[in-house]
Formats: sequence, structure tokens, C-alpha cells
Amino acid sequence: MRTLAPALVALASSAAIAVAIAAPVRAQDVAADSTQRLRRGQETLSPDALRLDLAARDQTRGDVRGVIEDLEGLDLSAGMSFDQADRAAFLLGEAYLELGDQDRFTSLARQVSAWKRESVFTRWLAFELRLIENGGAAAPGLSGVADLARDDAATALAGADTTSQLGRDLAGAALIRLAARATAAGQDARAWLERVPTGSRYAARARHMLGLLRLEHGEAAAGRAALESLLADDSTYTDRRQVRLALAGQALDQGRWESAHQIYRAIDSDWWQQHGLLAQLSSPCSLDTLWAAWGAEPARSGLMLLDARPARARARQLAGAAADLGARPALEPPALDEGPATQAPATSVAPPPAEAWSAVMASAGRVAQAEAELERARWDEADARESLADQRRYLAIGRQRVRGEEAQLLASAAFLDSLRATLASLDSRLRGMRDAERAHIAARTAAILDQCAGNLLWMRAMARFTLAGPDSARMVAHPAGLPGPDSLLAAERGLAGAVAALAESLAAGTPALLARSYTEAWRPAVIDRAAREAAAARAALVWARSIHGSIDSSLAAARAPTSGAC
Amino acid sequence: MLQRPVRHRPVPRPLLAVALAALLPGAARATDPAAPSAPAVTEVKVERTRPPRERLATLRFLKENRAFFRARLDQLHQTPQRGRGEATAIDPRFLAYQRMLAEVGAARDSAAGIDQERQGRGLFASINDLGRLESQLDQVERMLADQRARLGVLQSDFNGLQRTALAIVLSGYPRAAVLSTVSITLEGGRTLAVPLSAGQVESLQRGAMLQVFHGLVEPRSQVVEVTLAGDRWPQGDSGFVALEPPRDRLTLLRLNLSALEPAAGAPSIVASTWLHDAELKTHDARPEP
Repeated sequence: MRTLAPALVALASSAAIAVAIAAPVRAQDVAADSTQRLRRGQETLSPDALRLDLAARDQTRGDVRGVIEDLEGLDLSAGMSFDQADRAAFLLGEAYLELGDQDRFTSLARQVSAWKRESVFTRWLAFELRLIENGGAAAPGLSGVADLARDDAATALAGADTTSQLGRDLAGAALIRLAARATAAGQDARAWLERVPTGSRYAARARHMLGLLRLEHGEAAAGRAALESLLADDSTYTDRRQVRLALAGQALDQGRWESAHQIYRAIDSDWWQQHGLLAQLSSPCSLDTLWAAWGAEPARSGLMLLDARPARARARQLAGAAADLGARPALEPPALDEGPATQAPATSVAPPPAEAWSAVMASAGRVAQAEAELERARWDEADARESLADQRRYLAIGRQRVRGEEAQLLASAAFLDSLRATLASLDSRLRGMRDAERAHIAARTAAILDQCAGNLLWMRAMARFTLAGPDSARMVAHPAGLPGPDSLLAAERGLAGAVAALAESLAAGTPALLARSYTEAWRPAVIDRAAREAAAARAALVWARSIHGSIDSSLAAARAPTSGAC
Repeated sequence: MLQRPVRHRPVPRPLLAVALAALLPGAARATDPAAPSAPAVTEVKVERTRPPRERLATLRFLKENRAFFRARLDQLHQTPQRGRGEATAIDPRFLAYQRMLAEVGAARDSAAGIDQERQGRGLFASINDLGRLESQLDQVERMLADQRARLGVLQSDFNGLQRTALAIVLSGYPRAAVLSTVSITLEGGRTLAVPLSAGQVESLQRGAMLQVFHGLVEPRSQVVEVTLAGDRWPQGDSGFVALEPPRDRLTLLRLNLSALEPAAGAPSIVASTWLHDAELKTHDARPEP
């Protein structure tokens, strides 16, 4: 895992450079038509489309978290639920990979792989899913491990297309494997070795092996020439000491003592140099160097590392282009190639086997996944802290208001208490007014009854002395159709009777009505109301203090734990 | 806030005293000292013997006024005339009665509305309700004041139609004798015998008055004979009261029997006369609309 760290750093740097290069382009695109996104926002009204629009904006800003939070709520399991679902899935997957969250990416890509509709985005997701499933995504850029230990795989790869570097390397590795197996079987392996492509990174080993085989087959000059040319052509070849040993042995056989001595001195020098290097590597701090050396020659572990960095760079480029919802990019996944040869000090320390490499890569994948989960935990922590800050602000406002309410309630309670004497006086005045009104109404109704009696007496007198008098016929005579005095007098008697009845009912009912009004309306509305409000103020004060305590407790709980909160 | 609304409207004084004075002048003065001045009461003497009268006074009166009587008799002759009969204007009194009748109806409706509101009132919720009650009482008092104004109009109309009349009333009851019948003999010989029932006697004993006569009389000097019958006067005991009723006025003659002495007989009756007021004496008379 430690050997992969430099590669990760290097790849991260390259990714940052790629983003930095791509960002101005995006900015220029946006600046070219700043209203485009707004217009598009007006046209897309569905919630999914709005989520995608927000995610595109976050993608443009490089906000991975924003993209994930915008798009994670989409249901992508049921196929293309809306028109731009493939774009949304791709942006979400890229955000997952940027975060290092392989698990979620794998789950998402497998969901998308079940879709019937295919697009450049779905193809990219499938491509990156294959990279991960082949174990490469743990170390972005070192993807795809081929196990050459299997004969069928080696035979198949020996005839690979050698027009590409990857094909040449695959073919070279397979031919080396086949040659080693033929040698072990006592067969002539030169034919396999001569087929190793010149541009392959295994060409030097093939020349080494071919030189040794020629020496064994008595072709001393040819073998010596091959080995010497190897030493001359490739100063970085790891087994240069073995080549020299073979040449030194050949010189001894041929009696060229001086030449053999010089070769052995060079070997000795190389050995001491190697010894010093190994002494350095024995330090724990130098394990990275050792891993770098092993990584520089994966073939020694029977592995071939494919370079996924170009693919990742293109995927990021596509993600940037996908943020422009008005355009449909057509950037297809690239062909994979073997990772570039890295400069690392040669070492004679045996590299780990392929299984160990796989375990290391799996471990790196788990580390990346853990880091992704850690990043998510940080997001959750930030959310929680923000929520707590909001809650604190809310509670602080509430506490301030409760304090104000408490002060107001205290003032109200004090004021209501001070009103007691005033209310007692007011109650006395109310009772006095009630009694005075009762006497007043009685006097007025009595006066009205007296007036009624007087009017009635007057009317009876007129009736007796005029209408019923000796000249009655003349007194009551009147034109037809018009009322006479007798009719008017009868109506007046009826009115006086009605008024008298009204006055009597008022005189009889008003005292009880006044008493009831005092008991049920005046006193409850004034005297009892003050008492009720005082009680309500006290209850509200108790409640406010209870709320205050509750708010203080909540505030104490809402004070965010510092570093150990997650 | 809790002060009862102050009423500034003065209570109108009634015209009641006018009517009471017509019926019971003494009682009106006793019960209402602030009432308008009662009609002047004139004590008259009940004589034992019939007052002497000037002979042939009627003939001399007719001779002195024969030209007037002839002119009046000439008007009784029917003389055909040429001309067209035209409708005369309706007496405005009756138009006023129609309007006053409508006012009475409106007042009754108002009283019924007030009563209905009173019945529906559960409480005086505020002082404003008390103010409304005061307003309603003011309204009732205005109704009564308006009624008195209308009664005054009616009284004035009646007074305008008044002819010469005499009303004789009895009051009091003798303590020392039982009075069974009172007979009144008017000028011209017409006699009214009024037997006193037990209820009437009880009423007289309690201070009531009993009207024994009310009729038209001539506006001249005349003598009214009063005859008492009872256990002390099985054959009757008479007294004579000289009167001179003025023209077109109602003259009231009161015979107070409370001082009647069995030995003195009818002359011990205390008699008095007064005139029914021809004009209304009001404190708040309102102009007739």
C-alpha cells in the first residue's frame, strides 16, 4: 500500500492539473452565455430535472459533495426515469470516484448497466465499472492486472496485436513466460524469445535469455555479442549483473583472464552498490523505495499494470462537459494502455507475488473506501455542526424572547397586584351605581305610572262630562271616514294602558336585572377579570421560566462537541 | 365611566290638574300643591224656603228680545233659492284627529318595541345598556307628554262645543241620620229622585262623590230644590239653592251631606258651585300643529 502512495499523489496532482486546465474552459463557456442555465431552469420543472440542474452547477464549481447530495435522491434503479437520467447517473458516479467511494459507484454502475437505453454516459459507467472490477481502481492509474502464470493466457497473449505498446508488452510478457516454460522442459526456447517485440518492455529480458541460450548452445560469439549489446543498449536493465556474470564466465572459458577480471571487478562494484542499496532498503523508511522498485517492474511479480490515468482524465473531462446540460458530449472511453515505465532503483529483492499485489490493491481500495466514508462522515459532521449552530441561534433567540416575556409578565403581575385596592374601590362604586340605578329606575317608573294614571283620569273625565254628557250626540258627531273624538280617546286610553304596563314591568324586572348584571357581567368583566388575568400572568410566568430552563438545557446540549464529535 | 347618565330633560307637568279640578277641586289641591289654580268655588246657601222670584221675568225677557226671536224664527221658514250646492271644507278638527290617531299608533308600536327589547334583555352588559334604558324611559315620558298635548287639543275642542249645562254631585254622608233618597227638582218642575244604594252610601262615607244630575239648563237664574228622605225625614225635607248658570259653560253644584244635621234638615247641607274651566291651564302647552 505504501508503494502506491506516490503514485496516488502523482495521479492526484495530474488530476488537479487536468481540472485546472479544464476549469477555465468551463468558465469561458458559462461566461459566453450566462443566461443559458437560467433559461434551461425555466424550462425544466420536474424535481429530477431541477436536481440535475443543481448538480450541474455544483459540478461546474467542483463541489463533489454538492453533486452527490443533489443526485443521490434520484431513483435510478428503474431505468431512464427522466430524459437526462444517464447524465445524472454519470455525474453522480464521477463524484463517487472523485470521493473514492467505489462501493456506491459499483452499485450505481450496476444499476445503470441494467438499463435498456445506452448512451455515452452509460458506456463510460460500464467502462469504469470494468476497471474497478479488475482491481485497478484502488490505485487510480494502475488498473487491470493480468495474471500470466496461466498457460492459456500466456499463449493467447503471445499473439497479441503488437501495434500498440500494450499489445507489445502483453506479447513480450507471454513470450517470456512461454520461453521459460520451454527451457524448463528442456526445449529450445530461442524461437519464443526471438518473437519478443523490440519495443516491448520485456525486450531486454528476452535478449538476456536469448544470449544465455545461445551460449548454452555453443554459439559463443553470438551469445557474447547479444549480452554485450544488451549491456551497451540498456543501462537500466535490472539483471545487468547476471549478464556480466555470464560474460565473465565466457571469458574464463576462453582464457581471457584480464577481461574476466575486469568484468568481475565491475560485478563486485555493482554488488557493493547493490549491497549499499539493500542496506538502505533495510530501513523501514525506505520501504517506499522498495515498493517503487517492485512497481516499476510488475512483470517480476507476474503482473501487468494497465494505465487508467488517461481514462480517468477523459472521464473528468466528460464530467465537465456533462455539466453543460444544453450539450450532449460524445467522448467515448479510450483504449487502455500499460502504465509507463517508471524510474526506480533496481533491486534484487524478490517482489511480492501477484496474490500479494491483489491484496495490496484490495487494501488500497478499502482505504479509499474508508477515506470516502470518512469524508462523508465529515460532511455529516459539518451538517450536524451547522444544524447545531442553527439550533443554537434559534434557541438563543427564543431565550431572549422568553426573557422579555418574563420581564413583561413580572411587570404585568406587579401591576395587577397593585390594582387590588383600586379594584376594591371600583367594586364599591359598581355596587353603588347598581343601587343608585335601581332607585333611579324605580323613581322614574313611578313617575311614569303617575303620569299614566293622571292621563287616564283626565280621559275618563272627558268621557264622562262630554262623550257621555247630555250633549253627547253633538260631541261625538264626525264626518264619515274620519275618526271622531271618541275613537281618539279610546286609542289614547289604550296607549296609556300599554305605557303603564311597560312601566310596571320595568319597575318589577329592573332590580333583578341590575343585580344579575352586576353578578354576571360587571363584576366578572372588571373585578374578576383582573383576578383572572393576574392568575394567568403568574401561570405564564411559571411557564416562561420552565421554557427558559428547557432552552438553557437545549443550548447546553447544542454546544457542539469539538473534535471528537464524529 | 360608571356614572349614571345625567338626564337634562325636565319632566313636563301634566294637564291632569285641569281635569281633576273639574271633578274634584278640593282633592286636586290636596294632592298636588303645584297644580294649576283650581276653579273658583262659590259657597251657596241652601234655603229653607224657595227664594222669591221676580214675576213675569220671562215675559219681560221675551218682550225685550222679541226682535231677535223674530229674526231667528224667520230663518226657520223655507225659502227656495237659486244656486249650486258646494261642498264645504272638512272641519280641520277631524283631520287633526286622524293625524293624532296615527301618532297614537306609532307611540303604541314604540312602546311595544321597548317592551319586546326589555323581554329579550338578559343582562346590562355595559353602562351603555343603562344609557339605552334611560333613553327608553325618556322616550316613554315623551309619549306621555305628547299624549297630554293631544288630550289638551281634545279638551279644547270639547270646550268649544260646550253648551250651558249643570252637574249636581253629592259628597259626604250624614253621621246622625240615614239618608235613603235624594230628590232634585229643577227649574220647570222636573224632578229626579235618586235612591241611595248601600254601595253608594258606603262610597259616600269613604269620600266619594256621586253624580245625581248632568243636563242642559237655561242660562238664567233658577232655583234647584233638594229633598232628602230618610229615617229622620219620612215625609221628606227640602231645601232650595239659587243658581245662575252662565251661557255655554258647565256649572257644577256640589251638595256636601257630611254636615247634615237631622234637626236642621236640608238647609244644613253645605253647597258650593264652580265652573268647569273653559281654558286649559298648562305648564307645557304645545302649539297645536
